[in-house]
Amino acid sequence: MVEPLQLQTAAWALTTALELSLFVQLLRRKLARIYPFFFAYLLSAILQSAGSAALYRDPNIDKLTFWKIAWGMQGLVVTIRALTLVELNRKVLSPYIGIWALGRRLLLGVAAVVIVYDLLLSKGQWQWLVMNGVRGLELAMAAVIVSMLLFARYYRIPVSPLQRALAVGLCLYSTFYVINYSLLEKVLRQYAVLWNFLGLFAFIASLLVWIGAVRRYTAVEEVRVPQTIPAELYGTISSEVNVRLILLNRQLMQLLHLENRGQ
Amino acid sequence: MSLPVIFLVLFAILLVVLLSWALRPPAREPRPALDVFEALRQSRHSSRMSHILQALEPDDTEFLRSSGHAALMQTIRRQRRAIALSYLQQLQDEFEMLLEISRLLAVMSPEVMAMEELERWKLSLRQTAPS
Repeated sequence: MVEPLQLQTAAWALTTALELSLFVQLLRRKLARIYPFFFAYLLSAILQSAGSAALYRDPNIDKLTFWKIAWGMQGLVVTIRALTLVELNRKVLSPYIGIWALGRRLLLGVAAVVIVYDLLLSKGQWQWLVMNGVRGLELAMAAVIVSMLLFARYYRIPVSPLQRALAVGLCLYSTFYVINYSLLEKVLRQYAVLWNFLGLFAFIASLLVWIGAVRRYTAVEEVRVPQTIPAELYGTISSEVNVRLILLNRQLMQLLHLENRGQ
Repeated sequence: MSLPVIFLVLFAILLVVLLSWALRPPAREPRPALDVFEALRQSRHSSRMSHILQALEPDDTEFLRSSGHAALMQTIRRQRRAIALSYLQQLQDEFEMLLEISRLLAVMSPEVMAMEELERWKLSLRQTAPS
């Protein structure tokens, strides 16, 4: 029977192989220039894998130094992932100036609320502050991705397949991290190796989603020129539309009420 | 495990559900931009509201019962209710068309008014809630 630790080593090897494969494909498709932060994130993840392997092989390292280096690397990778997210949001929303101005404020607000809520759970202890800070950032990223996709859906803003894949991969990994860190590792500590393996599995799934999207990527995806109208025209029509919507809403409610009464 | 942490986990699960919903293709294809101004000029169904309300009033057909035509009254009421339902659908379509117009305008505008957009989000949510 395969030991969980062997399974984890195999998953680690597979993760590194997939990371390298994605790295090469990003370079070959010239996407490293279009998504520089995503490229940097992948590079940092590869370096983190190498760094972790070196840490585990060092028998002289004490526990606290190990902890500091491991969480330092994790913090760096998460920060670059957050920058990747900013890059993704910019790519999707910034061609629409008005929407981007509104969306930026909304997404920042969502992220701030989630991070502050999570940090409040640390109760002032710095170890928890770092670990909960990373969790807060992960959850904030997932919340921002979902808000951005809902925002894009509401305004019918096209999201290219690659952007969609990046968003899905980032969101799935972040949510899994939060659930894993908050629930599984604490409640079922005896299965820590298994949960670590599942964490890697979530990342492997994200890598596969990204690799698939990068393979299917065509340069046409990025070409998009939105039409523009003067802000004054928007202001005038927008107010008129709102008045009509409110009136219609009232009439609809009135009619529905009458209809319900008649039944 | 504390309640705030449970909230975090539930929020993470909710995010996954919302993610899958957000990735679904929209129920309706967006109208081309050129239709926007044309659509705004179209006649409004809402202007016929008073006639529909009048037709739905029981008093409007009550005289048929008193003159011994109860069956006819029932038929007319049924027909009028069917018309009202069709009219309701037209109002709903008009509402959705206006929302579509407002979305297109916001996308095309270099400045967006947060309060007006918020008002529309609320109205949009209110309309999708019962259906």
